[in-house]
Amino acid sequence: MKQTRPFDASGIVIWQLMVWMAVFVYFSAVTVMLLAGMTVAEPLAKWGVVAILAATVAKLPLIARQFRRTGLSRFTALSYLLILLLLSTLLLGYLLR
Amino acid sequence: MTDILLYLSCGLVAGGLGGYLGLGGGIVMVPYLTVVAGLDIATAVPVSVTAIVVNSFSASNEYVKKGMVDFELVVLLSLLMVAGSITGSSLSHVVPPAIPQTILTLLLVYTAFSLLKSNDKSKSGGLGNWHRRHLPAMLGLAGVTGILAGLVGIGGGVILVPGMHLIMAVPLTTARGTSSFLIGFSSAAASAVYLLNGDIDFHIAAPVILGILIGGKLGGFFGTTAKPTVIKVMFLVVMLYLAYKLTAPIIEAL
Repeated sequence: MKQTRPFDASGIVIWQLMVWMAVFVYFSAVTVMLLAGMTVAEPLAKWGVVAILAATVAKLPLIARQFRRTGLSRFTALSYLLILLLLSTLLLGYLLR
Repeated sequence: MTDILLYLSCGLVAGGLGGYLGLGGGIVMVPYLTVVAGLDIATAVPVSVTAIVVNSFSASNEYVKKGMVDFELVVLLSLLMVAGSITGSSLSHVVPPAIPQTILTLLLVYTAFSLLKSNDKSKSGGLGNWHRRHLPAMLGLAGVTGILAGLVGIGGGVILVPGMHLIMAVPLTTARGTSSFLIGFSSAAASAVYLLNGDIDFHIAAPVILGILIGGKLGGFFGTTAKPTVIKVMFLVVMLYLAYKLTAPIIEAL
């Protein structure tokens, strides 16, 4: 009989907490720069948003890995399909600008 | 300087109320940015959608820790939500502003009254107990919610949570956890479309993001001590006022 392991979400919890702290520090600095009238603040905010979107997509391989561990191969494939959908949105949007 | 503090307060209020009431924050943020800060809806929606992505990181983490997120549902519903969100955000340039404003007003009134009626006595249940035979209906609802979310600038939790609970018999706490986690993906897709179209105003987005990060934590903290009924009545009054302010210009134009 195939042995399955429980879904371990601790990696996702740690990742979300790390991203939350990084975004908090980064956007605190950007907001202070905006208050000080520094022109560099807006480009920095833009790259901050890009990093947030990348960090969101990065959660999916963590989920896919857990699905693979638990033997749910169909959901592993669907997780990668979701990554593909998100990345193709970016690519198509960039190309069609 | 005052405008930045105003946007910061918007994030604080949206994150605080969202954290306490289990909402993504968009249902508060878009009306706040349009009515209080005086922005047009086309500027408010991309900012709101981006802030919701950030809020999902903190709002869903407690649910993930407690095992109240159904990751199978996350993946299935996200596929349709993401596709819907991309459609909704792409349609934002061709749809007249009165349409999202009207949809938002209806959602505001619906949310305000449904929160007043709801109670927190729902039991959390084991994962995977949901009724798979109703999955096609739920997938359809997720697609429609995604379109509305991308168009109106909300996360979509106000539709998804009751939808999962009523259609698939998912326990309310699991539905909330699953919704708050998957909203991150659909909002990220909508935010990416707005980002690539150059629709996000970063002068507004940065303080709103900071505000929602702080507000979300405060909302979760004070939520354990505040009286739910008082907060819900306050929320109802504020939401009805915002709904009135949103629809008044449309009615006057008719």
